[in-house]
Amino acid sequence: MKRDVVIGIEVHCELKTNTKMFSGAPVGFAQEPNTCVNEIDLGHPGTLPALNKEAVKLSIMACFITGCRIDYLMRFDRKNYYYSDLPKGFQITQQFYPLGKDGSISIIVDDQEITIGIERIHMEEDTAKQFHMEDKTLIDYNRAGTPLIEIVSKPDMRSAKQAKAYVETLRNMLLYANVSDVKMEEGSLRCDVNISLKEKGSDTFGTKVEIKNLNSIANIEKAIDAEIIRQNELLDNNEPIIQQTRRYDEATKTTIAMRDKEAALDYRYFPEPNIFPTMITDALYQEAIASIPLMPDKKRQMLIEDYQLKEVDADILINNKALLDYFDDVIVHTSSATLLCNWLISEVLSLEAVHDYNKHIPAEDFGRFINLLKDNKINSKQAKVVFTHMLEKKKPDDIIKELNMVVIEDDNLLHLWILQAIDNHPQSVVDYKNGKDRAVGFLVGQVMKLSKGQANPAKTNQLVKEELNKR
Amino acid sequence: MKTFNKEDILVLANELQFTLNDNEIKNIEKEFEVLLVQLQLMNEIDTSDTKKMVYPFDAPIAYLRTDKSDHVLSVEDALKNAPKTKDGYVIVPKVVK
Amino acid sequence: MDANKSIERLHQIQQQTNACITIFEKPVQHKKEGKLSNWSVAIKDNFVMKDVLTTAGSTILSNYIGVYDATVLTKLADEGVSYVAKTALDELGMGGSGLTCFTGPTKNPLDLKRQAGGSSSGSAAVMAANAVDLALGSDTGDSVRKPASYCGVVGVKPTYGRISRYGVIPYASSLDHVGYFTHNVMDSVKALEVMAGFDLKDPTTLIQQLPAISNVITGDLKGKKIAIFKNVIDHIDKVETKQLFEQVIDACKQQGALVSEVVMDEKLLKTMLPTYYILANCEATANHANLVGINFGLAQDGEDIYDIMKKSRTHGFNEMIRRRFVIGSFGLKDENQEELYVKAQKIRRLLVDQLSKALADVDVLIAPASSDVAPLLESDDADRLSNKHLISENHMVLGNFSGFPSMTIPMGNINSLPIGLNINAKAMDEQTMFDVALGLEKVINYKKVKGEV
Repeated sequence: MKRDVVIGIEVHCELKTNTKMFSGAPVGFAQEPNTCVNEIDLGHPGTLPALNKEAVKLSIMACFITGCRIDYLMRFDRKNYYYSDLPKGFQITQQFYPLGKDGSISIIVDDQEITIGIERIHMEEDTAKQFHMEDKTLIDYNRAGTPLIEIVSKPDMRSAKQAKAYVETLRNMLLYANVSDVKMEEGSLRCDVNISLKEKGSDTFGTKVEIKNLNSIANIEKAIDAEIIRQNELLDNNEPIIQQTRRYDEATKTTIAMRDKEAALDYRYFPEPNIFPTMITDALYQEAIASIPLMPDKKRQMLIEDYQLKEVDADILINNKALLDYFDDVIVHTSSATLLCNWLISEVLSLEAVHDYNKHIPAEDFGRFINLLKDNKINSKQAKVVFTHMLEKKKPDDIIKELNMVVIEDDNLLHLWILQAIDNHPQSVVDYKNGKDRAVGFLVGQVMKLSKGQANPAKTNQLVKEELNKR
Repeated sequence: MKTFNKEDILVLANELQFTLNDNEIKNIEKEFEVLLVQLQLMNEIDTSDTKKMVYPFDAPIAYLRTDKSDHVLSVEDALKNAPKTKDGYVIVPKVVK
Repeated sequence: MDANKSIERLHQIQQQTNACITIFEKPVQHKKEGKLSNWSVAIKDNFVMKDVLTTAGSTILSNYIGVYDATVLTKLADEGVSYVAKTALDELGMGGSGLTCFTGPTKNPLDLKRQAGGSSSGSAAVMAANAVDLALGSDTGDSVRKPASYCGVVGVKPTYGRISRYGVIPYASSLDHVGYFTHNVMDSVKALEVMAGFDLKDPTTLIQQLPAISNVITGDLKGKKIAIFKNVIDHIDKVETKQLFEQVIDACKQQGALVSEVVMDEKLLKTMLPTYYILANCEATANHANLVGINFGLAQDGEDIYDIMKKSRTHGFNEMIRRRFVIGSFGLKDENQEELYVKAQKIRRLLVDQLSKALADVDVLIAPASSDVAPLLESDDADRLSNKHLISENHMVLGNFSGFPSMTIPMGNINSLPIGLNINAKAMDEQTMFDVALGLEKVINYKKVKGEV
C-alpha cells in the first residue's frame, strides 16, 4: 500500500415498518406511483408530523445491536434546503441529538477480527423518488417520509476489503434483527463511502472524497479500489484532491465526479418546533430489546455448539438468512441437524432463491424426508429422486409408495446378492486379502446394481466385509 | 454587529428561491436598520445563564403514533393540486444532477 | 343564528369591507344535531378545508383546494355548526393590519376608514358586522386578541396545544395558537369545550382535558386576585384608554376583587417585539419552504425546477413576505443563529419567567389590549422604537411566548369605536380566565357600536 487509506461509510437503511416516519400512510416499494401518500408526505400546508412508534422501536434495536449509547430523550431538527424531491422544503432529522452514539461492530477480514467504530445512528425521513426521462423528471412521493436510520461509521476502515466486510456484517445484523429488508437493489440499504489518503504514518488526514449511489456491495469494493488508484495518481503528480462527490461508473471501472461540494450548503439546522422532546419509556426500551432475535454471531455459535454443525457449514447458513430460517423451520421436525444441513447446502441452496424456502418444499415434508433418510427407509440414491419429486409438491411418503421405492435390508436377500457379486468378481477377494479396502466398495456397488439400487448400502457394506473376512 | 448589504440580501433571496427588485432591496436595507436598533436592546439583556426556550412547555412527552396504516389519499386527491402530472406522476423539467 | 341569514349578511358587507375570500353558496353543515347546532361559523382562510379553496391570503395558494380537513373543523362540524365563509387575513397570517391579503385590504365594518386589525382581520370584521356566531382565527403574536379589541368582540387564545393545529397553515409553529371570536364570554366557553382536545395528528396538543367550565364559572369577582400590568398603562398616552381601564378597575374593586400591580423589567419588556420578529420570521421562513409550485400551489412556468420555484415564489409572495423571509433566513444562518435566533429563544424564556412570576400569586393579569382604537387604514407603524409601540402595543405577544391562555373582551368605546381589555391566566387555567372575564363582562356591560355597514 502506497499510502494509508482512510474510509468511513454512511449507511441509510429503510426501516421495516407499516407506515411512514411521521404519517400514517403505508410504506411501499414498487407500488403504483403516488398511491401511498397523504397530505403530510406531500408537504401540503398545515400538516404536522406524528412520530412512528415502531420506527422508534426498530431504531432502538439498531442502536442496541451495534452497542451504541442510547439517548432516551428523542429530539428532532430540521435540515432546510430546496429540491424537487423534498416536499416540505426541509427534512426532519436528528442533527444535534442522534439516537445512538459510540458503538462498534466486529468484522472478520483475512481471518483477523477488526473493530469498526460507529460514530452515530439517527432517525430521519426519506425523500420522494425521481425518475429522470429524456426531457422531464417524474416525481413519485410514495417513498417520501419512509422511516430511515442513518448509520455513520468512524473512519476506521483501511481497505476496500474491510469496507466490504463492514457493509456485509452490518447488513446481516440489521437483517437478523428484522430492522430492515436491507436490499440494496431495492434501495432499502444505501451506502455512501468517504475516502481519503494520507502519507504513511502521518497524522494529517487527506481531503475526503464522497462516493455515492453505490448499488451493490461488489461495486463498493470496486469503487474504493478505483478511487484509491485515482487519488494515489493525483498525489504522486502533486495534484490536489478536490473535495467532491463522485459516483462509480461500471463501464469504465472508475469513479466520476458528480458535482463539486460547493461551499458546503448551509442547512440552517434548528430544533423541529412541532415535535416535543419525546421520552423513550422503560417499557418501550424493554419491548425493543426483547424483540431482537439472535444476532449472527450468537446464532453461528448455537449452530456449532448445539447442533454440532461444521464451522464452514454454519457460515454458509449464517450468510443465507432465508436458508437459515428454513433450517430453523425444518429442525423442528427432525433431529438430524448435520444431515439436514448437508442437504440444504448441496441441494436446496441451488434452487431458485426465495424469501421463504417453504415455498419449494414445506418444512414438515422436508423434515419427514430427512428422517426417512436417517432411518434408512430410503438410501441416498433414492433420496435424490424423492427430492426432485417433492419439488413438484408431492409428499415424501406418497412418492415412495408411488415409485415403489423400498430399501432392502433383509439379510438373506442381501447375502444372496453379495454371493452373486463375489462369484462374478473373484478378483475382489484376492484384492481384499492383499489389503485393498476398495474392494469392499466395489462389491457394494455391484450389489446396488443387482438390487436395482434398492439395497441398503450401509448394511450391505457391513455384510460384504463379514463375508470377505470369512474367506 | 452583523453586516447586511445588498450583496448579502441578493444571496439570501437566491437561496430562498425568489428575486427582489431594487426598490424591494432598499426596503429590506431600511428594515434591517430598524432591526439592528432593536437587536441592540436584545444584546443588552444578559442571557449567559439562560437556557433557550424552543417550546412553550418544557416537559417532554411520551406519546408515539401506533404503526397502523390508516391515512392515505386517493391518487386523484394526491395529484389534484399538482401543476403538471402524467401517468400518476408529478412532472417537472428534467432535473440535471 | 340562521346560517342562510349569515350568508346574506356577508354578501351585504363584502364589497365595502372585503372581509371574505370565499362566501359559500349554501351553508355547509355535516350534522344537524349537536351542542352548537344553531351556530353559523366563519373560518379564517388559513384553515385547510377539504374540497374548498384555502389560500392563507397569499397568491401562491390562490388555487389550492384542500385535500383534507383541519381537525378543529371536524370537531365543530360534529357538533352541528354551519360553515358559511372563509375569511380574509394578512398574507400567510404575517401581519397586524389586515391590509395585506392578496384580495385587498379588509376594512373595519364599524368605521370603513379604519383597519380591522390582523392577521385575523376578516374573522374579526364579520363578527363586528354580526354576521356569524363564531369566527375562527389564529394567534401568533396577538392576531386574534388585537383585532378583537379593534372590532369590539371577544377574542380568545387558549393555552398552547389546547386546540389542535393540524390543518392550520402555520406562521411560527412554537408561537401559533388556534384562536377564535365570539360575541360574549359564555359563547367562547362553549366553543372551547367543543374545540379542545388531544389530537393524534398534532402531538403538541395537551393531554390534559379541559374541565367542564360552562357549568362551573359564575363571574363572581369577589376575592379574585387581579393584577394590573403597570408597564403597559404607563406608556399609553391616550387619556380615554386609561380612563376606561381605570373605570374597569374601580368596578372590580367594588365587586370585591383584590387588585394589585405588577411591574416587570422595562429593559426586558422592550425586547418583546424584536424577539417576536426574529422567532416568528425565522420559523415562518422554514415553514413556508413547501410553497414552491412543484406539487401544489400557483406555479409559474420555468426552464428547470429552480426557475419554477423562483418565478412562483416571486410572483406568489408580496414584498413584505419576501422581506420577512430574508430576515428570517438571515437569522437562521449557521453563523448567525447563536446571536439572533438562539438569543431570541433565551430572551423568550426570561420574558416568560417574568410573566409566570407576575401570575404566581394572582388569578389573572390584565391590561388594555391596545393603546388606542382601530387605526386608520393608511396609518403606518408609528414610531417602531417607542416604548408605546414596543410595550403597550405589543405586550400580548407574551401570551404566545408563554403559551398561557389569554383573551380580549370589549372594554368600552372611545368616540364610538371599541377598545378591548386583555386578560391573561396561568397555563391551562382557562377556567379562571373565563370566570374573571365573565365577571368583567358583567361590570363593563359593553354597548355595541352601530357600525357603518
